Amino acid sequence: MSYSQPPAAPPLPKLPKAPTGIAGLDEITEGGLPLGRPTLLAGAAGCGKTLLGIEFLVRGVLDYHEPGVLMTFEESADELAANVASLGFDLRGLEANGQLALDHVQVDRAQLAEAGDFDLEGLFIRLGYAIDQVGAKRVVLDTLEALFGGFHNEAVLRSELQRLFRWLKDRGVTTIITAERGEGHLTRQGLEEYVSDCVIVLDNRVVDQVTTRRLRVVKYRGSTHGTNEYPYIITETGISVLPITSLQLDYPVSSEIISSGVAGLDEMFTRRGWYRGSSVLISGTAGTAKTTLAAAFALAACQRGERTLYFAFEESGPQLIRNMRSVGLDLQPVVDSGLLHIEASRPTLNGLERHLVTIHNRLAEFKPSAVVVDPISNLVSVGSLLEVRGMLTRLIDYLKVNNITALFTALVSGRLGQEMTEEGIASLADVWLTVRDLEGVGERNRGLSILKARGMAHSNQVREFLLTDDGVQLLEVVLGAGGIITGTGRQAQRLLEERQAQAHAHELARKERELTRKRLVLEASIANLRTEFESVEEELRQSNREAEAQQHARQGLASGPASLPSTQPLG
Amino acid sequence: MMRNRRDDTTTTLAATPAAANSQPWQLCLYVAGPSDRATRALANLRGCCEQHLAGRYALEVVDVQAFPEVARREQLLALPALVQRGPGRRKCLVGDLSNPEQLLRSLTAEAA
Repeated sequence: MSYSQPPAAPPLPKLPKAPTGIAGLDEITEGGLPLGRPTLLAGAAGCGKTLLGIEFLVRGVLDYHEPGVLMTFEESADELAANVASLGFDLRGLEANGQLALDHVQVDRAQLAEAGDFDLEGLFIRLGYAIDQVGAKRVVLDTLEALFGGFHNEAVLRSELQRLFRWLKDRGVTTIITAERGEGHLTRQGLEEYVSDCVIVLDNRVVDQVTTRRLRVVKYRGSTHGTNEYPYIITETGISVLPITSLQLDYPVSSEIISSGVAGLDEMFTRRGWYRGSSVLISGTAGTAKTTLAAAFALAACQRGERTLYFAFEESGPQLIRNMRSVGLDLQPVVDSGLLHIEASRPTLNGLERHLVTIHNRLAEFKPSAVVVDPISNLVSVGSLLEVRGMLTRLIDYLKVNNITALFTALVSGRLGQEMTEEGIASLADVWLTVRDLEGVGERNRGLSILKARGMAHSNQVREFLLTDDGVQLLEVVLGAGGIITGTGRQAQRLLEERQAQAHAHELARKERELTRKRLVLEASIANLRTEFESVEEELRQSNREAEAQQHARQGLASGPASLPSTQPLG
Repeated sequence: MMRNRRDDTTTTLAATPAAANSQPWQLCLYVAGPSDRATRALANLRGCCEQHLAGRYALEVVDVQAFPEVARREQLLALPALVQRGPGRRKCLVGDLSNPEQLLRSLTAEAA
């Protein structure tokens, strides 16, 4: 098996390609089928080989103005036209307009005998005639191998087929040759030997009672291509191959910040919201208001005037609107104005691929700026973990390439669910919020925290939030002795704090009073002492006065007039 | 040698052209251009017919390259192709008819 890889030197002419117009296939083949060369389309019965071929022709006519030739070897043109009419392909109409030539080749061995040397010039002439009739650029041969049932002489047949493929190349028509899948070979008759430019294999597998069709580009000479197996489905509008994705991580990014729709939540991010085009995952157990957060985001996006697509896998649109109204998120006006489209379906209704194709198709039709998938975990019910992961990777890639902000909710239940989110898309999500029950004594409260937010710092706190009549309200953080306190604990804490404050006030008042008392005591003591002092002073003065009186009396007796100072000492 | 035709009117190479439509053996040899194989097939066919069905057959030779729509209508793939419309049901013999016995068997199978 040799895969053609492009050399490292950059300026190489690109292999010209013919776009198929088939959703997804052009992405995988990086532009389409090799222009002017044959492509082998191998697959088991019921894979949609014929349909893919016809879609290639019809899209060629309608989208690329390239007329086509459909040469059928099994079904008659009428049968085919009837079969694909339900997909909206009007083969007869295109034929009438001269854009499509149909030729049904009947290979009937009963009517045919071989007698000697022959070639398949008749086939060449018919094909050439059909090509000239409409000026065809595209040809589908469905299923060429039927020729092997018509002729005994295989050697002639093989050399003629080889000639046919060379002839097709010389004519420069882009050709699809369909072939049955064979045992041990890609095709039953080994046609892959002759078609060396491009080989695509279709496969139809039943795993766990779910049928999945897959497409793989086995070989594409002169071009790179996606080498994985890609699921595809047959939708109302034709074949749709997943992914519609970028194979590289080189998309442009936006630095614009948009709101989460919850003011308090925005505050938890240093840049007050998340980046436009990022993918946000909200995981949590049942009843933790994931949907409400998602609806708040959707409503905020719509109120900014952005088109928003909401995939509801649990509730119907009207139910969602009713429920969200009860928490103050009125989605009805934005639904009425056409900004919000709610796409509700049961996950088990369809296989995983079909869901993702539906999502892709709606995205392509609606061209939203924001997308909500609520919840992605329900998709697990219709696919294996690995498949869901692969699908979501592609979906997220697609959204990112288109700069669509995506919000996914994921229901987590126990260990398995947690793993789903962790392994599934947590690595792809740019912002991961968890909402959880903070279960205390006899009550549950809702807590929200940011697990990661690429490209910005964020709060590390678990914030309690309430669903109020005005939407989601984040409560201020209350720190208790044992950490963050929520719910009734929050009330208790508040009461406790109030009591503590009261006690503190009491204490203060008490101390005040004590002080006053002490001051009174002090003042009383001072008064006492002063009284004491005054009485001593009074006593002293009294004594002095008495002593003076005695001296006067003594001087008056000894020297007559009292002209001498009393203090003069006696000489 | 070969002659082409514009429509369904029969051009015969039979011995008696006037009675072409009434001959029991209605034969048409489709070839792709003047090739060795075509020439060989025609020679083989005429030899056989002249030898065994002289006067009882009408033969028409059509160059499909010139009239490709005939190839589609007649469901031709392999060339040269001898289409026998009578006697019996329509049948087709492809190749250069290089085996005279096989050719004769095919031509006379239904008539016997």
